[in-house]
Amino acid sequence: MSTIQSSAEVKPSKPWKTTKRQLVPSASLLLAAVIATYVVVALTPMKGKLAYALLFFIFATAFLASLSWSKRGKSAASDTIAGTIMLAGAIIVFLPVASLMLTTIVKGSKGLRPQIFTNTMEATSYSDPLTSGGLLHAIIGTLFLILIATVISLPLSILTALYLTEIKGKASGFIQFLIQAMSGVPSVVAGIFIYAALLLTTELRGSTIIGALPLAILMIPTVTRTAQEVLLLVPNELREAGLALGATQWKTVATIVVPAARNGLITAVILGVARIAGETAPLLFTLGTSDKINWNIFSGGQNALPYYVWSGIIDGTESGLARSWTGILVLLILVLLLFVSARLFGSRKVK
Amino acid sequence: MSNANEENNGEEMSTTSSSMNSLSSVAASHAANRQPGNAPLGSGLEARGIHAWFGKHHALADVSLDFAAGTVTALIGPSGCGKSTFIRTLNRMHEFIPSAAMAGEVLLDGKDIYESGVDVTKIRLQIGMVFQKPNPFPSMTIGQNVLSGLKLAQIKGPKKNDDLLEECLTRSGLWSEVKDRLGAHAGGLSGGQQQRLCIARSLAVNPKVLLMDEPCSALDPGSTLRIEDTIGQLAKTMTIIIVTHNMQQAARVSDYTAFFLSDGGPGQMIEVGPTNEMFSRPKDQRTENYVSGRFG
Amino acid sequence: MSTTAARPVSTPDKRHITTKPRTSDVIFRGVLSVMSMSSLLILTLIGLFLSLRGFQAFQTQGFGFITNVDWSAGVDGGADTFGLGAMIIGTLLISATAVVIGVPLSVLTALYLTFYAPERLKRSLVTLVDLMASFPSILYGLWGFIVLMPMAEYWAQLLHKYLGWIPLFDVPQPAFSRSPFIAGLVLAIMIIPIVTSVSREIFNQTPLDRIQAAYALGATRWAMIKAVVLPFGASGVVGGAMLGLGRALGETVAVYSVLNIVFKINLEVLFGYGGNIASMIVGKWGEASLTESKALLAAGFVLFIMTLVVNLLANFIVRRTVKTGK
Repeated sequence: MSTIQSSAEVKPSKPWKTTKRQLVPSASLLLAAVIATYVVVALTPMKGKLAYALLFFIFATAFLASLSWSKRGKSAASDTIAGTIMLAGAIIVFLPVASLMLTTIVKGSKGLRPQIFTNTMEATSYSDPLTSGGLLHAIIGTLFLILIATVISLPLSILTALYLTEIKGKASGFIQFLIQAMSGVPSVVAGIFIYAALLLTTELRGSTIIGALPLAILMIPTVTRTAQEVLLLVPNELREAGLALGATQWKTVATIVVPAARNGLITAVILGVARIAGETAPLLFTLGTSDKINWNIFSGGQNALPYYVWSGIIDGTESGLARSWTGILVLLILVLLLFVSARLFGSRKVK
Repeated sequence: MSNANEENNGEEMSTTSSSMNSLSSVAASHAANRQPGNAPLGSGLEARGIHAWFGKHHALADVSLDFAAGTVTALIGPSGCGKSTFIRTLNRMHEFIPSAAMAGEVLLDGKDIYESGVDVTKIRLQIGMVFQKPNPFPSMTIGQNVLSGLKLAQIKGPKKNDDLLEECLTRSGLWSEVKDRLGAHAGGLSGGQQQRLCIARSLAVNPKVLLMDEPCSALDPGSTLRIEDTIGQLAKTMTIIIVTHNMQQAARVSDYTAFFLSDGGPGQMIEVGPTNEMFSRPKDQRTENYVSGRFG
Repeated sequence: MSTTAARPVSTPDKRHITTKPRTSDVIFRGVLSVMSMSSLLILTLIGLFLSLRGFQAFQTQGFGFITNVDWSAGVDGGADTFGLGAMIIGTLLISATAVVIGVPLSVLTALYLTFYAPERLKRSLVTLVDLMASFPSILYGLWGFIVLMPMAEYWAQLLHKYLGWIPLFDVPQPAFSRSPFIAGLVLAIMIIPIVTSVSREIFNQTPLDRIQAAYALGATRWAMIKAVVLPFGASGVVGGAMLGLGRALGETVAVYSVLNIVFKINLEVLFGYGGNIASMIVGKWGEASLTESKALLAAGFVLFIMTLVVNLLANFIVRRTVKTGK
């Protein structure tokens, strides 16, 4: 019979984890690769960041793979090569992300003064120096658009999601198919559709409410899909409890299911808003334009953050581009806030 | 304790003693029929003071077992007492779980497989594993499945592929059923055939030790018996360790049996011994309770 | 004395259970059904309005609307020629570049995140990928124009220098700025988040028992991936790539900011001009006459159909992989 040592005497360990000592040969090989890179660059006409990166990658992979081959054989060498290629791929992917964010912060903060939140462009042109003008009208416009688009798309999305999860009628497969089809509609197509339907042959001109319509179309698939996922997470026991108490289905859904999924539905809306907040193309056809705040959402053009950025690019001057960067910075901060709050609401448990 | 089957305290005793009697007679006949293996590979496997954790949960405490070369050892015990965890420390599959930790040593031919600098893929070539649910690779044909171990490790077999293919499938008892359709996909085989395919696949890399984690629990009795025959044949050239819930199976196939138990804390190895002794004259009361069917 | 049953009792017929639904529930179901059909309505209206309003263009140009490579509004009473051909080719060229560059990078990243990345790093990186997916396209356009362009021009020069003998990489003059290559590069970065997410989901669902079987046979990580993960996930990744393609086909402002829009065919991807349907619509919109506007709507209809087909096919493939698990 085995004697049982008290477990306090024996410590758990992970002998398979790579120790620091085991990393020494690899680290020195990486150093050798750096040296080799500089040597080759000095001796050949290759230059530039690309040359350094490529050479280092080739040398590092070759050296590390040789080490693996000598210690553990051919398949270990393939494994090492595959591993370095994957890491390189991941780095290549995350570099642009870092650059996007850093560039926006650096270039956008140049034009970031408190005044831009209180001024509009009614007295300034894009090419004027950055001391004048602002984007208040664009912010207000974006907020209007978000509000109207949400008001239009929210009922349609939630009701569609409810149909799919609560009623599960015969058309469910078809409706799923439709929602997927809608999610692939390019934003420019949504824009010109509204134009073709409402503006081409009528007296109407671009306005805030018309500008919000293509955005609503783009929002619906996102909100519906997320709402559907969230409603499916509501435990069936809750529905059964309601029905067992004699409530009708609609009362059960309205008073039990929807409140239980409330946080998730808020997440769905936030994700939908994040989807459309930065859309530019549809606005070009449906929003008209304005250099100041237009409080009339039914008539007269409006500005919005993406449109503001677009105008700066079209202007093309140094000031114009600087304004664009600032506009993008504000837009990016908005998207980030939406993203973070979606995470917060999404992680709170279903009540 | 050891006189339990001689007392006559009512019906309960006689049924337990009769079940023990049937087990021990099966075990005895296995021991009698067992031919000694010729030239068993290596010097076997030894586990010393094995502990296993999942995060803070201490799953296995201080298990030491010596698996002599060319023998079949069965690990029995109720569910959840660490048998599968233990067997996975023997071929270093335990470490795939992110929260896993262990202590102790596992010696293959005298060398600890957990030593720093050991190439774990080479260890797994020498210590193979067959799983509870048959898992052939569905994207490969039957022939490709058998040879997949060689391909994965990028090594060449000792003989030509066709010969190796036939040898492994014969040893696992599947050759006659599939020899005309080696190019067919593995998914078309029955459960028992798939499991024998998995056994053939493990054999192709010529392991010294074969670990089997409840290999027959998902199969019908006919396939089970065929695989038990296979185990008997294989034991001549390698060391086999088999986890099983089925005590009759343990009695039929194994030379030694180890009994695992958990009392709510970490699983421990209570007793180990020759199979026919474990089933007829176990030394520990808990062992006797288990093999006589009083619990588990 | 117990009697054993003598007559066998036949199984009774099943009862047909009915319920009279409450009126409020009837209304409830009715409202939900009608509202759900709104998506059908919207899609139909899109197709309808674009094709009807743009019908004139189809009528006058016939099939040449698609195949003609010339787009010129009639000058002073001359006939209009509206040919979408050049822009269709441009759309395909730029999107193909985006897919060829973006999909392999996405697959590598997805494999890295699923099988190689340490746990804590993995969570941050996954969040980063999701964040990347919500960046506005105009940000990519501006960044592509200001930051990426100089580097991409340099790479294009290198490509031309070493691979210029391939017709694709040849250029009539060394004008590498604002080329379809650069537009494709920007689009590649834009589609990486979605292709990576879909691929990651697929790889995560690789059956664990096959993975364990490979490792138990002594496979290294890469050998396991090659033998188990890639065969399992291949078709799902194709579906993800098609979703990325669908996104690239319709991208407007990013392309417009970066590409030198000229409405002619250009198959030399490194040379600085080209266009796609979406940017053409935006580019010509401001000055278009009524007739030309209608033609642009017809162009939009063509784009609508293209993206619809690609997207539906993509979703079908992805769902099939997830369900059957090969």
